[in-house]
Amino acid sequence: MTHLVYALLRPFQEAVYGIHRRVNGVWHGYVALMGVREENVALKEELRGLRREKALLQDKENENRRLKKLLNLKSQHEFPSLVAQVVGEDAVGWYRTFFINRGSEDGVASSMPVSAAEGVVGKVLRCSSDMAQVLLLTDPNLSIDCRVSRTRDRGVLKGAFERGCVLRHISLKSEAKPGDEVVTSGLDGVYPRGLTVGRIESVRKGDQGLFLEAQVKPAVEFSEIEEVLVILGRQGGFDIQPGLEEKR
Amino acid sequence: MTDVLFLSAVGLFALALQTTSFGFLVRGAYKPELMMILVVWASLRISFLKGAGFAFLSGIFVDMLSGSPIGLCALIYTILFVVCGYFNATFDIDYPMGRALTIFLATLAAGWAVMLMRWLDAPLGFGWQAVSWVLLKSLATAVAALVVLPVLDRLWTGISGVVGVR
Repeated sequence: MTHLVYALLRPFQEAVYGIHRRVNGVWHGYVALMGVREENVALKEELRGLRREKALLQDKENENRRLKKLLNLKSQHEFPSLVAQVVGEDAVGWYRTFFINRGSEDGVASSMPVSAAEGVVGKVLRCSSDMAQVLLLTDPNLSIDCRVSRTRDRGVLKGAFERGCVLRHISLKSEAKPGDEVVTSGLDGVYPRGLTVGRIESVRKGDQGLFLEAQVKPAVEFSEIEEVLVILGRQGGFDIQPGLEEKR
Repeated sequence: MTDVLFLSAVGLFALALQTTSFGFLVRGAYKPELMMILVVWASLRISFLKGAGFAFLSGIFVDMLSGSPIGLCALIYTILFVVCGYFNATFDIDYPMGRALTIFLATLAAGWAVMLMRWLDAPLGFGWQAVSWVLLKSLATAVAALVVLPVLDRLWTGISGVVGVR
């Protein structure tokens, strides 16, 4: 009897099970996958969002690091200074300048020194109420009175476009050599004393043979600057007379 | 009035582009001079007085947004506007390569004028580096002109309905 029932039932069972399997297969392979697809889309969107967030956090962390460096520099200075963001670059590129988001309303005035954590960036060329233009160290229109840090020899640093800068009028007796650090002397009345400018790459005799000339690589990578520190010296400079720099 | 509004809008857009995102696309020192392209285009399409006024004012704007002494670019752009207009009237330079060549020569002239002024201001030996820089920048501007000028023509044709695109 049992055999008979089983024999009768088996084809139905197999048929029903087959249908069930197919339906199940279709369900899992299509209907349920529709959900999976949507879930997949949602997860991908979430992943994109998380990646955006990660990039944003990374950016904030980098900004934080840069600002910390600037704050360290700010605390080392004895004069008031202001952090500013770089918001634009020179319109044509014949000159080496960029724009910062601080202006005369924040106390910025022309000829004020601009620095970054790594070293001197340049000086304020012009400014409006909420924006200022900074002339970079590599522009030949900028000259800074500098010293070779190790030998204490003085010279005038001038921008030389892609070649970086040239420190001119160094005494022929100077023992300056490649790798020496160049710092501001503080004698030009614009830049405070002791700010890093760059490192000497090569030294040679000047055209007239009366002085030495050194090729200087700026400490700052200009294409990577995002924030700078404007040193809010008195308008008209720091008023340091030659010979009195040690008294600062 | 349409031409003045058109030039103002395109000029401001070009200036904004040149002082912000253009430096990311092309290395800062070699970025094409969009304003120069615009000035040369104006010399071919816009009436003399309005075009010359635009060249001068755009030069003043560029002077204020770059390190140049105020008036230098204004003078250069105005002179180049007049010279390009004269060349077009005499030799018919209004075809793609002619315009690109004109812009190349105009940028070259402007670059050397700026270099001369710089050298007079700070006599530092610029040497071959400056020559190659000016040449490359002029070349970049001429190449950019091949793309920008047809776009300007299409925009201008759409707005004014006056000039056909060659």
